[in-house]
Amino acid sequence: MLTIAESILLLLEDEDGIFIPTQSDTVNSVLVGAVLIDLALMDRIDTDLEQLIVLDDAPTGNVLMDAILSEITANSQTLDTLCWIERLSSDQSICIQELALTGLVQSGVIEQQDTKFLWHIRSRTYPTIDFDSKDKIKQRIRDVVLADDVPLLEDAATACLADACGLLPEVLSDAEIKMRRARLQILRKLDLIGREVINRIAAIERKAIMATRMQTARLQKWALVLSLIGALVAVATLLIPRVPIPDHFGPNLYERLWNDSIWQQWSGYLLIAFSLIGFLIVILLKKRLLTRWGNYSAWQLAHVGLGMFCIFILFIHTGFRLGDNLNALLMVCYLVSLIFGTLTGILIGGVARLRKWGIGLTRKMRLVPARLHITVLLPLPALLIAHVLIVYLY
Amino acid sequence: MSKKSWFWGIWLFLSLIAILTVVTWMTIGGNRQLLLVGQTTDAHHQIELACETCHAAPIFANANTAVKAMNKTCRNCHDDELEKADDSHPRKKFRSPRMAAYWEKLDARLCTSCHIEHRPEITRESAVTVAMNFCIACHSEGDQDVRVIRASHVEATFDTCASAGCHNYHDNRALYSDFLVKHAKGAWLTKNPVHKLSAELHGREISTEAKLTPNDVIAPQNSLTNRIPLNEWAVSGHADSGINCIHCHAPGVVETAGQIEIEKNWTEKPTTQVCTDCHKNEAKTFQYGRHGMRQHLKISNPRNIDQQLNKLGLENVIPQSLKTWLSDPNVPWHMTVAESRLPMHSQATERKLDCGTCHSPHRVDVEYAAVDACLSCHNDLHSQAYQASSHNKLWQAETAGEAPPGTGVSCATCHMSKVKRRGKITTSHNQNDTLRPNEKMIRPVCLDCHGLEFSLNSLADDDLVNRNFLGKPSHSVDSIKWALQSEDE
Repeated sequence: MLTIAESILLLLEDEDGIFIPTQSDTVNSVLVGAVLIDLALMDRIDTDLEQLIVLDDAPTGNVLMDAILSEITANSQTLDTLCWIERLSSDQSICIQELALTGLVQSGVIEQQDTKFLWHIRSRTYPTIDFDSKDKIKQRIRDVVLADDVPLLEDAATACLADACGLLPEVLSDAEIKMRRARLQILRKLDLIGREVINRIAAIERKAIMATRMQTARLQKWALVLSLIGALVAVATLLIPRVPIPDHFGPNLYERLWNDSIWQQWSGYLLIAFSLIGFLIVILLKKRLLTRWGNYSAWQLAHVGLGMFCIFILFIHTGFRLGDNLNALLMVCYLVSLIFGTLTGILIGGVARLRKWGIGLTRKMRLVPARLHITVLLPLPALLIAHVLIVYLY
Repeated sequence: MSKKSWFWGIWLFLSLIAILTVVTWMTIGGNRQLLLVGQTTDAHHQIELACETCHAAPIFANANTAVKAMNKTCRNCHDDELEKADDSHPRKKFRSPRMAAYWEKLDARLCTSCHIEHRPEITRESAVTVAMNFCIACHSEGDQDVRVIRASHVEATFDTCASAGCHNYHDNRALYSDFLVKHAKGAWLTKNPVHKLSAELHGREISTEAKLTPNDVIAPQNSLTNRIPLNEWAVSGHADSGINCIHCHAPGVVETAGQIEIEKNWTEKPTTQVCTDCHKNEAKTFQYGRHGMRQHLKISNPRNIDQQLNKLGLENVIPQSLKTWLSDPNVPWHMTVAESRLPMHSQATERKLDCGTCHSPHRVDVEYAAVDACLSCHNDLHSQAYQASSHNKLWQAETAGEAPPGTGVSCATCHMSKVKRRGKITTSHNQNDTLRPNEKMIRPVCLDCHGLEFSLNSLADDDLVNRNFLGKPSHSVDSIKWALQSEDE
């Protein structure tokens, strides 16, 4: 049977073997809390309001539990549970997440896969191989939340910690969570360690929220502004008449832009290049390969900015001309995708304002234009290759 | 495999199929309508699916080779016409290294410098795709500066060179100075307004030596039950010149052949081939004009799918149904009225254009072909106005025998000019000979009846053209005045 820490970690993993983004401190705190509960259930430690005492320091056979148990044993100070959670979760010498993953790999629940994205960028994933274990954990959480009887302590702790990590929507519907809120409050009070973990997470989140709120708000504002401009230009491209080529012989910019094959090639390839960069940003973000160079919102903003730049180059390339036949299809496909992209940007950037106006959008609703943005882009590579072939072969 | 992997796998598969389809259309066969990058010009839309006619370079040829090959194809069809027009800017003039300075401005060695296909937005009259003041490129500086070398042009602007009825880039046979001066004094109507070649053709003595009567017909008996065609034939030029039924319905069969052989080789509806066997010049010029350009010998044939697949070693691998789908569309050899971009009568849209469209096969009535046949399809302002025009009144008088031959002006008089070669007069079936620019019509047609100044002014007056020349021109072309001034200076 999996430990509580392993169960929580398993729930944090998505279909691709990548872990759902959670504040690193939060995950560590939850995992430390989970290990302490596991140790308490094994009667290796005991806790009260003022202190945490080691009852038996013999190795348990689990690498993470043993690492934490030896850390507590080695310390002569008497500390309460919250202090231990804070201390252990921020201790750089214990790689809590790696040790927990090693435990899961050893248990045969997940496997470690090292891949190279685009042959160079290394990426490590942990896809699940034992789906039964994951399903059982989810079922246990469902049972303990939805039932009214007295729960097993480990099940209550697992549900409690899953709630702390925001993982309950993975197991229960929104309506069920809302309905069983009182039951969740009771579960939280059942275990001291669990309660302290929740307190610790609340403190971390408060700090993190304060720190990121300002940055996110700033980035979202820019995303909103850029997306609004982008949406206007994209819609205008569909609606307003083409910019005419001056009827005068001699060098002029418009003539060059829309008639000169060299300029057309430059603008066309630039458009492809920037579209590809925008696409790569999304893929790398999804693979969690970019977060070391900036936070999620910043990269989202970069994606929106690139989209805007693409609209500008599209104008340079076409001058608002839709073209004929396959070219028209390519243009419409690209423009509609840009429109859905800008709509996504507007929803992400304007979510706070919408909430102020009483328009609450769930994550799923916010994802609709993003999914349409991707769906409309699906025929683009084929159309683009056809466009390039037609230009060069004829 | 996860759902995501399936999804992206299917997407990749479909994308590859789409790309492969386009590549196959381009390189092997199939309908390439979807690949057209823009509307084809009015001049070429009839042959737009015969892509190889113009896109003659091998696949993946470099840009220079592709441009050269394309320009060669322009000359394939238009060189004769330009030579006849005494091209004012022939390609050979600009190939000289002495002209290298001009190549940068406007490379007159290449047709595609001024005529680019599939660019409707910048396509102007006569399929010109550069701004109409293009003369400025070469004639605004140095020893070619017209404002210096011609005092009359000091204040002229370049946007009027080709639009005011003064100059054309290629055909200036009726516009050059000496010609203008020579014909400057002509009255609006000549003393003897007769179209000479028409008069000569229609006024000639027709020999009756070979004339046939219904008693002379050689045809299977069961084909003669309908007397209408027989009667029509009996009064036709064919009967006058000894053309018997078997000459068209059973070509190759001698007149002395027996009924069995005639019946065996008899064709109820002969193809246009029998017409072209005798009327070679008409057939040749027909394929140069708008009505028959699909039959031009330089128009590429649809790609042979078997040959194409054979090159790849796939001839026996591809199933017949796929071969059918991959075959180039079989564009009819004859254009239909429905395909025209000019206003046409709705009841005529089904008609296909071959000899029989204008010439009833038995009656062979050239008077019908000269006007009524045209007006049964064409429905533009100029055509609509013909019935009320002075030209039509003259034509009616001529056909009624009230006026001498050559005095009437039919559609064919202007648009299907007569050509005299080796003493023989034939009708050119190439409307382009006198169509655009319309000053091409002046020398072979207009000047027989009208003065040069009147002709120039009339042809430059679009409203008057739309009224089919009913009235006097309100437009005045200054070229004769300027030519006379230059002469005086």
